Amino acid sequence: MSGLDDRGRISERLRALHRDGAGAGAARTLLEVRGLGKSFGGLRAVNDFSFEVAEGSITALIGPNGAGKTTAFNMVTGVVEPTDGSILLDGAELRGLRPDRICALGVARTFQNIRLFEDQSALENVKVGLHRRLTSGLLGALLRTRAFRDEEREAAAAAARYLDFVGLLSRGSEPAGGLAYGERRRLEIARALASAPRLLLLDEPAAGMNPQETVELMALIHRIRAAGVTVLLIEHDMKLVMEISDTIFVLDHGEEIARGAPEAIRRDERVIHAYLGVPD
Amino acid sequence: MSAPASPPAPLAPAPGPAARRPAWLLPALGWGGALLALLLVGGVGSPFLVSIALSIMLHAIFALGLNVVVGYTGLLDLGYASFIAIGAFVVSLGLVLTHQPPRDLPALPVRQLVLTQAQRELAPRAGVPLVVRERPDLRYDVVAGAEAVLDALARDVRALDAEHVRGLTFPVGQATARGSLPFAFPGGLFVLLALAGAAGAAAGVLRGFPTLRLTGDYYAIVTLGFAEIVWLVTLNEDWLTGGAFGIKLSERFRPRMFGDALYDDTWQFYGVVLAALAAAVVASWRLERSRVGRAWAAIRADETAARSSGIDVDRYKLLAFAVSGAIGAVGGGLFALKVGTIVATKFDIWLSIVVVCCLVLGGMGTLRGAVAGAALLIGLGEVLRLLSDTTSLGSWALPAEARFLVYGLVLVVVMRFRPQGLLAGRGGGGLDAGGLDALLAAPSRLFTLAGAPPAGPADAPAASAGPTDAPEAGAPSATGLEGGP
Repeated sequence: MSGLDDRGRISERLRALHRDGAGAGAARTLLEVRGLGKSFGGLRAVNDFSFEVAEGSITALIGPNGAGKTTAFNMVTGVVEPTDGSILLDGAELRGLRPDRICALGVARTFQNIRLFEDQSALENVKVGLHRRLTSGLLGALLRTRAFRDEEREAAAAAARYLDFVGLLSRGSEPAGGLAYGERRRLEIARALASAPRLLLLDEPAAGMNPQETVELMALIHRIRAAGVTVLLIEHDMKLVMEISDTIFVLDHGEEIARGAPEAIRRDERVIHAYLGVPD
Repeated sequence: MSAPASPPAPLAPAPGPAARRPAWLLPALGWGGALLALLLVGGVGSPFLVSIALSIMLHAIFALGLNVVVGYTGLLDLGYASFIAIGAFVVSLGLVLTHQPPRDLPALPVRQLVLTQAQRELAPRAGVPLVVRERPDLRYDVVAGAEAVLDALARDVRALDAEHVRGLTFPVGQATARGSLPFAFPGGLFVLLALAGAAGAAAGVLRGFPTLRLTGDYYAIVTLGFAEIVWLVTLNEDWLTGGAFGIKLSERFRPRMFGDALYDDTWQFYGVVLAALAAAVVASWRLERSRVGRAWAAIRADETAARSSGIDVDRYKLLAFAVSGAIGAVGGGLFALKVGTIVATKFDIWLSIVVVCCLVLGGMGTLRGAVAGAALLIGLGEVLRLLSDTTSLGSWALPAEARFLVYGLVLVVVMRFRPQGLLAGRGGGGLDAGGLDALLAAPSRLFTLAGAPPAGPADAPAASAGPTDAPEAGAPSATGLEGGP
């Protein structure tokens, strides 16, 4: 499992980076999106959208409903094929790859409308997230080889740890469909983390959460970043966005209208207009 | 179920029945009881009961095979009979085509046989009276005198058994002169069944490739079409499949096992079918609880989420088609030996529908559902067949078609009141809180977030006893990653 060790080293390096207080300027770009565009028939959902995500950062994508944020997410994760543009993860082109290949390259995501495997237990859901990092196949399972059993044991242990990380360990044997709303959001994050991503995409993680849950979510996102995972999120909860983001990109009608640090975005005229409407 | 004498439950919060009864007890009783019943029927049951049990077991194998695609992966397959047909034809063709007519006939104690008219017409052509040997099982081996007849008949599969009557008399051509049979060696049948399984898997992949993008009704319609193609090919390619006459597995084509020709009333055959069913159950159980089974369940639940979780959906769908096709074809090979005459018409849409009904009745996605559904539906069918027997019941007998009416009625009622199937519901499998905590103690090199600060008290209640309490990022991350061999 040399991939694991690599990943370990990477997160080790990242943690060192944070420790040394190296600013965002020193961090290199993990995700670079250039001229991304998507047309659904005549509708231009995303147009010439470029953005980049610095390694080790928390980056937010905001904008009014229908601005094209989720479409952009779907293109980065391969769920939707872009009409034009390029998506580079650490220099490697993601465009045209299948979602499972993109996941294997280190990009995991959650969904706006939570997509869990409802009748599976929480633990099993996380084990599915571990899928690409496990190796056993049909024969190993049929013969119950030693390698298979060892791997299964390790997978269960790892899944339990991911559950513990998001604070759901005690709910591990519940079917995912039976969890409370906030728990379901966190379970989806645990499942995504289990694929050991370098970049985690969260699509409206705070949607439907109460203030208390939102605070916990912010702490969780900070801990994810501290563990060496870069975070890109879509969110409507401005308190959360302003508090945790290093960089914010604002989309409206499929086009970027602003980018920058939270303070700058908060004061940006076009952003305010986009959200509140332009006075005549 | 009477629970074993249990200590009085303490005033623990919500003790529940599960606290007193181990989770494995009920399944163990169920499977053990089923096995015992099958062994009992095989040991002391009447031929009628044995025949029903065989039919139930074969349908249970089919239902388990279908369950891989329908239950685990969540795609409706309405053409499963095609895999059963492929297996049946592979096995019977394997037996018939490799059969060599006998050359040297051993000298044995003989006696004359009373011949039927038809047999008398054939016999003189051989020049000498037929010399036969009576066997303990009341069948006869032709020992001498009919070589010419046998040779002539050996070239035509169908003509051989035109008047096949098992028991005291037999048509000349059916005489059981033993030729050499490549698959007659003890393991020969298993070689053939393995070939059938491979053919079924190949057919599953072949059918699966063009349908990978399809789900729901569209997929079901393609499976229907595929079954129709297989059905039409087997019906019309006389040179290979015998067309509407089919292939008859007469005694000389039967594989031998422990000295006997493998007929459906032998204990050997019963044992082989029971073993095949057990193998199908164990294989399904193991697959269900593996990385492969999890991938299938994820695809069933949400294909998009499965893809985004790193599962190569196409690959795992093809794998499911292959496994499902293989199980169906192996079952089909055994089915061929049971029915004796393999004709395309036996593998029409009705067989597909009956297998789907077994699965739906018992509960999709569960092993016990597949087996119990087969037992219920096939058992019910036999009861109804008895009730429509005019010779014993006279005018009280139900019309023969009533069987299908009742089938339909039962399914409608089950679907109305218990749409998930009679025995549905995920069996146990859950860990209690203690078991979950224990998981944290095991080493897990797969956990990658070891360096993160511990969770706040809000979202991790007292779970920081493990190695997760790496204090500051500066600590040399003693967790997880170094835990390797």
